[in-house]
Amino acid sequence: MNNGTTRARRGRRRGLAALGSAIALALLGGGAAAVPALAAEPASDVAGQTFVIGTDTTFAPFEMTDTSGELVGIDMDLIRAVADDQGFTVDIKPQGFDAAVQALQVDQVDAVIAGMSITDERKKTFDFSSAYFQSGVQMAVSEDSDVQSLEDLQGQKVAVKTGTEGASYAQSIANEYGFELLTLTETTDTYEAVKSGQAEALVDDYPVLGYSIQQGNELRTIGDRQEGAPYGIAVNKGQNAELLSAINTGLGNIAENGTYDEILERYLGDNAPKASDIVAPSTFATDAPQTGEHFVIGTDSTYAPFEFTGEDGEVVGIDMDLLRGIAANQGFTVEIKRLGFDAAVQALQAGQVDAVIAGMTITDEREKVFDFTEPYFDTGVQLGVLEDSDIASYDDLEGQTVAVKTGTQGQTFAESVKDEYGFDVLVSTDTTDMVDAVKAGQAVGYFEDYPVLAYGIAQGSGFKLVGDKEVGGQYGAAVNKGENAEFIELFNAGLANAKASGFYDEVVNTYLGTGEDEAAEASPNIFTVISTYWPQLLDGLKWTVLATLVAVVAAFILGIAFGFARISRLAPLRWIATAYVYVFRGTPILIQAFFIYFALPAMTGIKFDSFTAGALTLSLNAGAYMTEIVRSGIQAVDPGQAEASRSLGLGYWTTMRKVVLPQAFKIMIPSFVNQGIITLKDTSLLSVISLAELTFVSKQIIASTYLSAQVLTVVAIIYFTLITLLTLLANRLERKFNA
Amino acid sequence: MSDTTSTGPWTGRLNTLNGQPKVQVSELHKSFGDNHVLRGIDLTINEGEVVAVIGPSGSGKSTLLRCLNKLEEVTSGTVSVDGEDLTDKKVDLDRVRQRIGMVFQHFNLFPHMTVLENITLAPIQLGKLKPAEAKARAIELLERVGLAEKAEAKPASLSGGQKQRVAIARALAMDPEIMLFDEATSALDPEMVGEVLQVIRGLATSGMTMVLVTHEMGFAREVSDRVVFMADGVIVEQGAPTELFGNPTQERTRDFLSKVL
Repeated sequence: MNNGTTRARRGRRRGLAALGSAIALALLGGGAAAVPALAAEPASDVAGQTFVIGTDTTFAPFEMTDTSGELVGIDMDLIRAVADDQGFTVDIKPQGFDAAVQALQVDQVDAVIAGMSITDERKKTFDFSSAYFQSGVQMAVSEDSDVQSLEDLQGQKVAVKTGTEGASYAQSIANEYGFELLTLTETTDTYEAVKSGQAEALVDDYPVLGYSIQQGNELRTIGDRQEGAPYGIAVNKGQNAELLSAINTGLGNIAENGTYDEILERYLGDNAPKASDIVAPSTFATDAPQTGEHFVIGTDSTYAPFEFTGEDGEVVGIDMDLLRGIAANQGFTVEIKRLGFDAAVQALQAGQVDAVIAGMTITDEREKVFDFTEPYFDTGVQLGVLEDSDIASYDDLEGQTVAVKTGTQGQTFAESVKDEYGFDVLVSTDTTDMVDAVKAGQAVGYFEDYPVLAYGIAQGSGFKLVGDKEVGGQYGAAVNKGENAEFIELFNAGLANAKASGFYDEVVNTYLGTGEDEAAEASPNIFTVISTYWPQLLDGLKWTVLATLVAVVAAFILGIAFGFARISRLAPLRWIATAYVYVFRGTPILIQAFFIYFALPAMTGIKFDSFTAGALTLSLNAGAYMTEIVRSGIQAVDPGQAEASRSLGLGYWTTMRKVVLPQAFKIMIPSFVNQGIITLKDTSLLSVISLAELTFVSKQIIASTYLSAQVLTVVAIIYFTLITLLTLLANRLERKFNA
Repeated sequence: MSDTTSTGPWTGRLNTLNGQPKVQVSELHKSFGDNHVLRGIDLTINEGEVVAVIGPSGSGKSTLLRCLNKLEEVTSGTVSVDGEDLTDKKVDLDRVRQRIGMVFQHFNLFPHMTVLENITLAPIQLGKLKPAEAKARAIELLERVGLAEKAEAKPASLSGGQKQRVAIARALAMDPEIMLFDEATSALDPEMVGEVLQVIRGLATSGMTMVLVTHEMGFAREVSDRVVFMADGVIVEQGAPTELFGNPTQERTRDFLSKVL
């Protein structure tokens, strides 16, 4: 919305802003002087202690098993080097990524290092160390694939590992490029999927892809590398601060003394990034030696929460706190001039200020004239309505009027969706007019940049947010094109440190509040899990039941056919049936599922979707057990029964049908029921080939909520209830049969 | 061994007693793996003749009986019924077996069927009788063995003696020409032996060709036309009951009889 001409009049919202700033200052407790993070003393508290570290089983080049069976990789060498540096010892437990994260939550491990991206979602549950690696995801296809670019993926499948950055990235562009996602639980499976043709492409972190290609995997990367969240080492939130502090100190030390560079080169060769580029200082130091640099910074007069006047007359806000923090971190000084937005921009062009930071959106237009720093804030448009309004979603806007300010992103967005939702747009020239229009009932709501809305609400503006934040622009600080490159450099370096150390989050949260986060942190109980995720769980249950039904019926037929073959007088029939039973009883069902889903297509070209492959696996597996149940059931019938029947002159099949089988089935019923229950439970294993059954769904929910205890309890109860009902039903049938 | 037994003094006399040979066994050998159970049996059973097979446990008498309707595969030799060689693969065994009833030591009634269904199963399934006829015939047979009131009972509710009488009725439902009894009273409590023997005795006097493997020496002596003594897989001696029991020629026979009589 930061169109120059409109921004000029924001000053008229001063009344609201002044009220807000008073409260904000009270929160800050010391106004702008309160800079949250300070350099910590190196912790020696943990020296001599042993910590249990959870990690993934295989996530090359971060963790993998070398030929001697030892766990190696960037993560492993790194944590050992950090432990050496800080004098503690580590007991590394390779558990798989999801299991490690769950183990951390229940305190079975002290920390997790597993190529784990630092995300906002995870930060609700965990504390992270400084970033130690800057990953990024990229797509890859088979070397001989026709796919050259993302556009060629139209109508294809892309394999992703559940809960990863790659999965989010693929999800975000799936519609744009028209491909489908194939969600799998293990990284290796995504590679298998591409090899076997189940998927055309896969998404993975670039170091993993690079390493794997270097190791001879016949893959080729396509599209650009998408910069992802940095990797960090996680401990439980609020716990193990000593360990985290020691890790950060150790990380800083090994980045400085070259140890970390050696590790990176060991695994990534020429592509290794420089340790000093990715490891931020362990804390957001605000006592950096002065560089002697001094910049004059122009800013808006009032644009809460980015800049506004604090109680003592000093300018505060996200922009200001961030700028002052970065200046202290990088050792430069600033002089802030509150000029108003348009004036600040003009002053910059005229060379009266060195840079402008004023909630300024980075646009192509502006980039012709200015150089921008890295974006420091993602903004976006959201709908604000009065607190007592009935409007709950865009759908409720039908026939209503919505206010926007001219020339803003809010207007652009409103115009783009007004036909879809059937509302009229009332264009105001000023924020205040827009707000007043809503308060007076001329409009039901208004579109505004969400930080502005959110801040206002936090200060008691009487509005509430509706719908999601629409994707908007990014704010950056600007300098004249080709000038003051030092400022850009210093600002960027400081920003990176601020983000890595948590300083940035603290500043933003100070102004935008964490009301939403607090709601999420209020430990949800089982009932909230049920009510929130019931539709998903029900969908998973549907697939579980469906796969079980198909498998039980098919296994019954297979069991009868092969059961008779097992006791046939014809040797070849016996051999075939015996081989079938031995193969499917003699291999784990997981291997069978992988084989049918991945290996079979690679060998024969016959492809199955995950339900077909899953149901087939279960059917064949249960069929082998059913075969033995049928065989042993028939053999359990007294041979005298068949002899008596045959002695009367009755033939083999009549004897079977009339005499042996009725008695055999009675013997088999409990085993049938038992096998049915086992098959039902075995469906949970099919999550590995991305069949979206109950366990798969629960894993997905846990991956996004970290509520493992609650979700697993609910899922266990569902399974238990289902199986208990089936058992009761089977008991009734059995009684009926025996009557 | 078989040479001596096949040319006994009884042969001519017995052949004149009842007409044609019904069952002819020659050079019959049967092994279960290394266990050579039957070691060359030659035996002829004439029409209407009642033959009791006696001998110590493990002598092969039950195996011999089970070879007569080929419930056991024979290892070598032949078993002929009315001139049809059962060891010939082309012979329809099911058809031959319809003419040979068998009663087992452990009754082998079908537990999931009523008494009536046990008896009518084969005649109906094999198309010998219509269901209504089969039922009438079954009731008639049950009356003959004294169990008409048990027609709708399940076998589990019957005593051992009753079960065996039903089993006999079941075998008779196919109107067999030959009846084989495999230790039909061995599994019974002593007080029930009599009722079963009574039924068998009745059958014997009706002129049915019968082979009985039995431990009831008195009964064998009473109802049989000929007694065959087996030991170690061969027929040691055979003859009319009065001769074999009264004046056995072989040491083995005397030894056995001295222990059981």
